[in-house]
Amino acid sequence: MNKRFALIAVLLSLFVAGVFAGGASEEEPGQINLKWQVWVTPNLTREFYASAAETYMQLNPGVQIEIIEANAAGGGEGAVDFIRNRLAAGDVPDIWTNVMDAIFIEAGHVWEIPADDPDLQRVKNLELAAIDGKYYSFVAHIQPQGSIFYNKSMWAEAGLTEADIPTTWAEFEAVCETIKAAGFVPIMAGGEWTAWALFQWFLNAEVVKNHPNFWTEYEAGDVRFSDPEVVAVGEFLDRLVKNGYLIEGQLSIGYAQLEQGFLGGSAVMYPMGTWYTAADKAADKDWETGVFVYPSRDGVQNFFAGYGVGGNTMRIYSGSENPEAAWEFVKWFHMDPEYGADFIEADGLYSNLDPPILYDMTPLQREVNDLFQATEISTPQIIEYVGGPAPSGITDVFQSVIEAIITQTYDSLEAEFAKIDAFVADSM
Amino acid sequence: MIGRLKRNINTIRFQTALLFVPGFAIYACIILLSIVLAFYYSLFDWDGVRNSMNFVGFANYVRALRQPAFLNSLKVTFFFAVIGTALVNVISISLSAQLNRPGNLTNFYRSAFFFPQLISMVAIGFIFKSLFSYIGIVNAILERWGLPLVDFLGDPALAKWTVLFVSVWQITGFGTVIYLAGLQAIPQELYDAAKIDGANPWQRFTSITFPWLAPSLTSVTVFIFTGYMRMFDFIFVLTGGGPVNSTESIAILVIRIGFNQFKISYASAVSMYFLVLVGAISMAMTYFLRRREEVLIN
Amino acid sequence: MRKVQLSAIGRNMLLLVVAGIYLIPFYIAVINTFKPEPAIIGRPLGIPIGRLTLDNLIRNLNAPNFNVLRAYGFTLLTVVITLTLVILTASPLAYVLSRFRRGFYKTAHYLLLAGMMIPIQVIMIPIIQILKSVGMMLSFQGLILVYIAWYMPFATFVMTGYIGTISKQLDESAMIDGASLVTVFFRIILPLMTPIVVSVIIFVTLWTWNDFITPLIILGSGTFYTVTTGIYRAIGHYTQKWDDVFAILFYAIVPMIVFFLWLQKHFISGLTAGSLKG
Repeated sequence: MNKRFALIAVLLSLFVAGVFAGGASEEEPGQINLKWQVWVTPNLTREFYASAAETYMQLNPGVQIEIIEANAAGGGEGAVDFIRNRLAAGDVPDIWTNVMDAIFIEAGHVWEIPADDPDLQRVKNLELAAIDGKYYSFVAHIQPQGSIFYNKSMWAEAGLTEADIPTTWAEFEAVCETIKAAGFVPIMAGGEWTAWALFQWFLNAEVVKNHPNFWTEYEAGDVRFSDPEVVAVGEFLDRLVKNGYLIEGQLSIGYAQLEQGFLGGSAVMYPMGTWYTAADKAADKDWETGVFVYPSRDGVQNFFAGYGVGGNTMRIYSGSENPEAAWEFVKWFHMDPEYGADFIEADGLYSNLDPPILYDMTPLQREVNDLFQATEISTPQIIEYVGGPAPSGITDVFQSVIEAIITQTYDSLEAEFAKIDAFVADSM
Repeated sequence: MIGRLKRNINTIRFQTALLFVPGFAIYACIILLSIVLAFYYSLFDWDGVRNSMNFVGFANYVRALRQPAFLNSLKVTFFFAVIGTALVNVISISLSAQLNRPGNLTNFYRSAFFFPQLISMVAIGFIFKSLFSYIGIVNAILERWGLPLVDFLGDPALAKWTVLFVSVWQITGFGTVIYLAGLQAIPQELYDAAKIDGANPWQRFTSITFPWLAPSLTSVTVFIFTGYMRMFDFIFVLTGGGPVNSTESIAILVIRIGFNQFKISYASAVSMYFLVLVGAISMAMTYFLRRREEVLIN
Repeated sequence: MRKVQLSAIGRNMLLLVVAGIYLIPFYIAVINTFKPEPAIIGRPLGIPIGRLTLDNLIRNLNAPNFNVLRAYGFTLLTVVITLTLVILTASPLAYVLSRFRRGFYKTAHYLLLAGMMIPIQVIMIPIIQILKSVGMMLSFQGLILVYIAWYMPFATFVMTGYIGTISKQLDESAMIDGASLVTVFFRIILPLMTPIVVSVIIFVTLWTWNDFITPLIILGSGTFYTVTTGIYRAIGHYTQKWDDVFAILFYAIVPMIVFFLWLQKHFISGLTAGSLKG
């Protein structure tokens, strides 16, 4: 009997093997193949990445770059989810873009860059990118997010002047009230799943400036989301919603559509990262855009620097067969006078190199730059690494809390913020 | 003689196995093994990325019961499954009753109702998003008519009904086609006899139509109910589980904690609960409905 | 007589409205395939007669990383191989489960049912690990293998029910004549199963054609892609290029509609055979 089952097994495996006789992929000898996972946004288009790869391949005939676009397969969040799947599958791109989750570094999947590379001497304050004293990427460009843009002609039409630019919450709310009274929508939102970003920006402006090592302090028990100073941010956002200052329907409208909405004059103020300045430049509109830093409760302002955000962060897979070649490409992409400039111009970034890579800035982009230089404190992203790594997927619970505030469906704000603590406790 | 009989039995056993093994082995090696592996992962604290795996026993199972998110996802899943199954049944039985009459348009209607079966849920999701977004087509029409705008997908109280509507829209065609076939199998003589006896349309429906539809009812109900319990694609494309987790079904929750939050082990524990739950419900349902079927037919 | 006519009109009106609700999304999908993007966003329901264009379809016929003909060919190949293997393995399995309902075979029946109750996303990670350990991840073979396993419970479930309606005496008389069980199945039972095989063909074709998660994850970034995964190439995290989305949707839908209109009669009867006997 056993023999027969063995026979069946053999027959079956022959059958399977026969049907599934597969072919191996062919590779040219001496050729270096790099797979580059990219992050596509309205600014950083597929075509943009393709032309960068094309140019590099022409300059370096031995290198073949294949572009892979991260997609939301499996229901996760973009690039992080994509890389996790690819890691599980064993088909990992050599170069990752916008994959910031600290878990990959902890797991040893990220290649340590040579911090003594002479090219890195051009990078200002290189230590910004250090994680436990090691380097996995460098900050070639800064992408400030601590800015609220506004439509100058609607601003004036509502009877406001430059003197009305708010620095405190109270002033900001007064501005909103004036705008609303003039019949305009005060605040444009990010849309759909990006609602947590607004939450994070106001958290940064108020909380992270006082807790420069937020996650280390959190682990030590010195700070909690249910602390009154943090809940105050929720109360502030709650007042904005209750008074009708935010655009209606933001949770079911896409990012690109809302950006178009602001450009088309649907709202007066637009809290958004400086990548907006690139869209602003490209837009065909007959009004000027102004910008100011996030207000805070006491008026002490800080600027959310956004080190290593979006298309700005590139990391190299530790299992890559050609990490050095990948590293050369990453440096070229960030530091080449021509392509580096195209890149930062396309995404509204600011060079962190010395000498800086310059491009033809619009007045708005220069204004952001001046604001950024003039603001004393600047903070990194609370969802990634502030003194320590943030728990994976914290944006899920941020999103849920801000949605409860936007839709006014919470029991109490304290309970909502306690949910964030419960989430962190469950993750640590 | 006895030896030959024995050999025959052996041959039959061997041949049965030969027919049975290929299909079952492929299934067992992929699906069953995956379920076993998921159970194995659920006993650890694996995140799917790091190599470290510590045994934690049933801690993940206890953790799920303590989490409001898990209990919420159960509530959401049952909302979709119970109301969705009921709506699909009521609508498809009524539609099929309307269609089960001679008329040259029957074919056209049947095709129209069946069309949604032909395209992927992703495509359906995108089409309906363009309809139901706050700045979507439906609101554009409402605005033109001077009516107040509705946030079909952004309002937690409404979003689950919107998702439900889209799912009912998709599934009803399937139910209608099956009920229609069930209706067409009912002998016309039964109705004629009932008419002679003076039964009104409602009496004819309850005494003839409904009992004869019982087998279709069983399969449609079980099929659709389990389908709703597993619902993922519609929600993923339309709302992603939001707003405020109001459409976060168990399948969505599992993906969120497993993939977004890197808690593979915890997600596996939730999947195990899910598997046991759906298994128990569908078996109970089949048993109950089959018994009712027998009662009705006799 | 008048009353009958009125009620018939009322009934048709009602059905027309319902049919309208069913067809409007298709109208949107089809009409927007032929519009430039501003018109899609601005007036999605309108028909700008002078401005209808084939640009979207032509542009997406052979995009840099998406060739429709190639996607059709690959999807079709996947469907055909999957179907052949599912039918060849599931039908004998169903035959055994239908005729021998005791002991291990009964357990096997329940084990198969369990597979019908889970969403595939939930076991995707273990599946990836299994495929990886046998070197079938990122391959066409791996995709086919997962499909066969995934469709096995459904195919067996409906086939078991169908075989139950075929008289056992057929088997017995053939066995008395000296035929082996394998012969009985392939020579006598399988030919009688045509309606249910058609039903499996219809379902598996629809599901495979429209599936996107499985090929996206299992095939990875390789050179193979299916039509439906193509939609995801036009949809980024921040952007939805509606002109591309609708064009690829159009390419994905049309073959299924042709398939349906061509086999409509079999669709209805196959579907019914599957569900009534199950």
